[in-house]
Amino acid sequence: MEYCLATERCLPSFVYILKKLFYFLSGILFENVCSQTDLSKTNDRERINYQAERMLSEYGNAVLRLAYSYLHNTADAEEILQDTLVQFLRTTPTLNTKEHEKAWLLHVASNLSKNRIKYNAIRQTDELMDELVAENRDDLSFVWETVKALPDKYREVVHLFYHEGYPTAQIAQILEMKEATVRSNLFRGREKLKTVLKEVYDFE
Amino acid sequence: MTLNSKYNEAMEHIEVTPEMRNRILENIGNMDFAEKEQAKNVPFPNIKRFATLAACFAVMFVGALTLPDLLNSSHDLSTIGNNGIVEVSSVEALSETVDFEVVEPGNLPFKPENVVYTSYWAEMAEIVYTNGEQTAVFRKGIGSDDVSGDYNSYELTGKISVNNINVTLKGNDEAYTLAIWTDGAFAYSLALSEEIDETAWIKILQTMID
Repeated sequence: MEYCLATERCLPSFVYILKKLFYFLSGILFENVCSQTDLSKTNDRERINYQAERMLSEYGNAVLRLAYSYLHNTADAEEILQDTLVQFLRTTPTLNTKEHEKAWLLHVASNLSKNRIKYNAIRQTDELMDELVAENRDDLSFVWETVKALPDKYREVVHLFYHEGYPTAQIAQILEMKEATVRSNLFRGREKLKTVLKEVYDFE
Repeated sequence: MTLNSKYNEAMEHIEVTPEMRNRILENIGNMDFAEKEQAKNVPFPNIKRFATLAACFAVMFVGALTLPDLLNSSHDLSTIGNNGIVEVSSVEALSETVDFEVVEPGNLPFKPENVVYTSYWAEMAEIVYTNGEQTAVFRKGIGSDDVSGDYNSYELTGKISVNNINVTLKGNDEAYTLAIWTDGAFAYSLALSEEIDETAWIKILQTMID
């Protein structure tokens, strides 16, 4: 009799514990799936559009210019800009600051541009040169032509250092190379520019 | 007059025009980002959820029963790894474990003080040489895919031929740290912690490529 009473007392609590355990395990298994499903349901186009617009406004010119410095034509540079944004929107990387955000975009744009050069799939127009010539800006077209003639590895560091104003350590992170290599490429790039421009201009 | 101000002035001619902006936003607007996300979220059938739970319990149960036996077994645990990764004591033992011949690289740029021989799933052999400051990692794997596991981007890539085998060298600053090659049946890689020039690489590679 005592045994039966004890069983009756214990059984409800045992069932209760089993239920709790089941809910706990179900929660672990289902929570992730449910949240992801909700996310995909609320995969709001507005959020993506807003992000794309913000990225274009804040970093569009920087990414486009870096891509142009590699590819020397607007159509390819525009495609690199678009692909870079798409990669950002698809991967949604966790970036704490705007500096990180910009560096991430420049890193991706640099890689995409180099891939395009590697597969020799770039167009042979140079709208910037055409524009500078049309404006009779011989000084600027001369400078662009000289920078454009640099090997890619020198031009990329020259662009990021002088146009974007990055220190060599950050350029090393963006281009995934050693800082010593960045410094050496920057030095060699400048030397080549000096030789061609014959000290008409000098870098500060 | 500074060149960088001229360069910046030229670069300012390149900008995202309203037409370009509209084109990009329209293209992005037409892309289906949800499709990718949904593709990742494949619905998990109920039966599989419970099967997973049951499998977890089964693994725990079997583990609880067998783990004490494993711990008390007489096997030499230093040579038995988990998940098919086996560390052995010599190149001969390594060749036996992976079931293909492994030849050690000679003429390394440093004198190794410690050598570790590892077989990965009997598909790839790895030998790591260290002397405290420098490291060399040699790998030989079945197939012709790159087995180096080195996905760094290098600014310098060179191609050399050693005994009619094409070898790709990768590095920075006019010297190389990585060599990869294949003979069709096997893929090889040798990675060094310190860069060495092409001549030094050839001396090493000649000890390994017949």
